[in-house]
Amino acid sequence: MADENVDQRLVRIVKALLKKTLAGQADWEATFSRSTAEQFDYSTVSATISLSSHDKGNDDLSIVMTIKNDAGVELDRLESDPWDSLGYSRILRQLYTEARRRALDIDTTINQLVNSLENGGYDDEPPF
Amino acid sequence: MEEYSFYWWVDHISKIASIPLTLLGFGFTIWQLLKTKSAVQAAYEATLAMRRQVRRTNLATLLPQLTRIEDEIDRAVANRSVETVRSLISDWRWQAGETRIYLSASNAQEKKILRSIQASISVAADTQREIHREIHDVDSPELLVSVTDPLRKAVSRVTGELGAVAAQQVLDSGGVSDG
Repeated sequence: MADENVDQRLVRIVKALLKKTLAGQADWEATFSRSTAEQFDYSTVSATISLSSHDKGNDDLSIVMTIKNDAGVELDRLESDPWDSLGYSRILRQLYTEARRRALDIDTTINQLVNSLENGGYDDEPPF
Repeated sequence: MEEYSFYWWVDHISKIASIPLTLLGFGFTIWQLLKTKSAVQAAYEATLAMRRQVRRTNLATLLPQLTRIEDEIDRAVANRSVETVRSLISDWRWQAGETRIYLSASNAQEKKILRSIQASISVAADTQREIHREIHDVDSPELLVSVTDPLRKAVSRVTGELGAVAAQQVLDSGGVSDG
């Protein structure tokens, strides 16, 4: 159920960006990385959308989407909740997963590794 | 013979040769256009061409300033100078923002640079926050290298992309011979 306090335009941004990301049309950059937190950015010509994760322990990974203006100032944010009580958290988590997958080029690395191990490989070293 | 760097040439051409070259180019463009178009149309198109040239010239002038900030950030990080890094990040945010004025989102190459600039400014703002949050002890700022790593990559991308545009301009304006 949608909450009146949630700006539905932010939810629309999440959905549109997920669609764009799944279509391979969004360039995500890995920016900050800590043992308990990671951040991935998508920039247009005048705004940046950041997705960051914060490990709160007990398998609770909180995802925060922040919108920044052309000066890098945070304008608004959307945060997931573990119970998805507001109806957008599942999509926000999916967007984070896909953004991370693309920013870190996870598929390429895993495919190279599978190919190398299964086919005897031209390169015995893992591709990283 | 004294060696000059690529950026010295860009700076030199921008500062000294750009105005007469631009005016010369403007006259030449009008002369060319007058062969096939009306005087009004020729003047309009020549003006557009000159504006484009002036924008590119200004960009080439800003590039050495941006590369200087990039170099100084690297040096300040190597010297573990937190306060200098903070100051240079502010410089970058301002200078990179200024550069946007001379870029057009309707041009694919420039749109790419605009996005890189936006990414760098966003990372710069985040880096300032990270430094404030993570680095409390200015005497042992070991975190400075890792905290500024995303910024240095983002800055490097901007200067690299702008450098390609500037290099194209050097080629368009007659080229620079080796040695």
